[in-house]
Amino acid sequence: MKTPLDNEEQHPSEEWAKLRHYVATPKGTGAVAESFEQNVMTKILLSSSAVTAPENFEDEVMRRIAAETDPLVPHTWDKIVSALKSRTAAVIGVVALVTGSSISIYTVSQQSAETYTAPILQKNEAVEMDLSPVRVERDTRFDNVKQTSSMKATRTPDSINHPIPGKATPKKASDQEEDY
Amino acid sequence: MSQSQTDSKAEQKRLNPLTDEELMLEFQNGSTGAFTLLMRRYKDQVVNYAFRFLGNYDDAIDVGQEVFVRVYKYKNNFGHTIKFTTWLYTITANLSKTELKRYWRRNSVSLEQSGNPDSDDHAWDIPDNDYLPDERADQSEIAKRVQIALMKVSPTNRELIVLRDLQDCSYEQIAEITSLELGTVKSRINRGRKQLQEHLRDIYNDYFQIVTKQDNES
Repeated sequence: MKTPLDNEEQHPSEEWAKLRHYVATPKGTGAVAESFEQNVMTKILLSSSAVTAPENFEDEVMRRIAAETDPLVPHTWDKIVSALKSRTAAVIGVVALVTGSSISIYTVSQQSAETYTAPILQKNEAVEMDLSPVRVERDTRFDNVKQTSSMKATRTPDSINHPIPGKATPKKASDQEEDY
Repeated sequence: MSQSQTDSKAEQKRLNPLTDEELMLEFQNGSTGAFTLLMRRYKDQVVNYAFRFLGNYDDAIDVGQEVFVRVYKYKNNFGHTIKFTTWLYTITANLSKTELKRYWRRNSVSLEQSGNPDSDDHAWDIPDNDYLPDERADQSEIAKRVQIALMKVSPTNRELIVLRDLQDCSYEQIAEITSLELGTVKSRINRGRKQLQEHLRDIYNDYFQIVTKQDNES
């Protein structure tokens, strides 16, 4: 008599054989057990070697808190205000300096040239400049000299007596002598 | 016994049975005793978290103190919509990360290696291999070895492992603290544990006689 497993149709397939290998082999269960045990050991090791805070921990925390909330220490806002105050004072100083110097320059430039005296000199030491017009006389020495035609003819330009070395620039065809 | 001492004891007796959230409410209403009590309840956990994450005891103390100063200063920011511990560990985690970044900058770790320092995904993947345990933490030999192994885990995963396995935070709470998806939290914790187990293998073998399959094969 055949048992159900003797029947070929009842035999496990290859796929099942593979799956069974992964599900039920001692290797798989062993790895899980080992990992579990090691996890337990790790937890024991970690918790058994815990460190603790030192005795002065609480005092130190309270000291830090007191230092941060101490009213004697200027707060950030106060620091900002004082910084702004000092900066504002500096800006006002610079503006005053610039304005003052601008006013003095403007005042000096508005003074007339005749009454202007150099600021370095005292008024009594200042030398007033004579700005009255100077009379210039015409030179009449050569007014009666007349040029004769011969004198005009003998007058030659310097370029004839002292020619410039090299060839003269050729005239372009388009250049035409101007007809006066 | 003076009158103020009696008042203070009575106040403490009244506050002791209150929950963390109720204490925060008292603190927001002006009770400094409630703040002191909260600090007493959580100072060790906060310092321990910072130490596990940073690996330096002095820095951990400094971060721990700063955490409680922030709690004091920003008490009104606590909105009672989350657990007090979630809020507290969020502050602690943020300050610890900031401190770690400062430590990296001090020690001239190339930021090019870690990508953008403000990006959570890349900046935290450098394990602190150069870490040496602080002698002032008064730890046993095995505790030092555990801490060294922990510092070899990338900071992203280390933060989550410490919150889960040391501070006993729930996955949901960790997701809130770190602003990560729940699935990401779980996978990172799993990854971190594997990294840690890898570094703790010597300890398992030495102290607990766990012989792994790989050791058997070798």
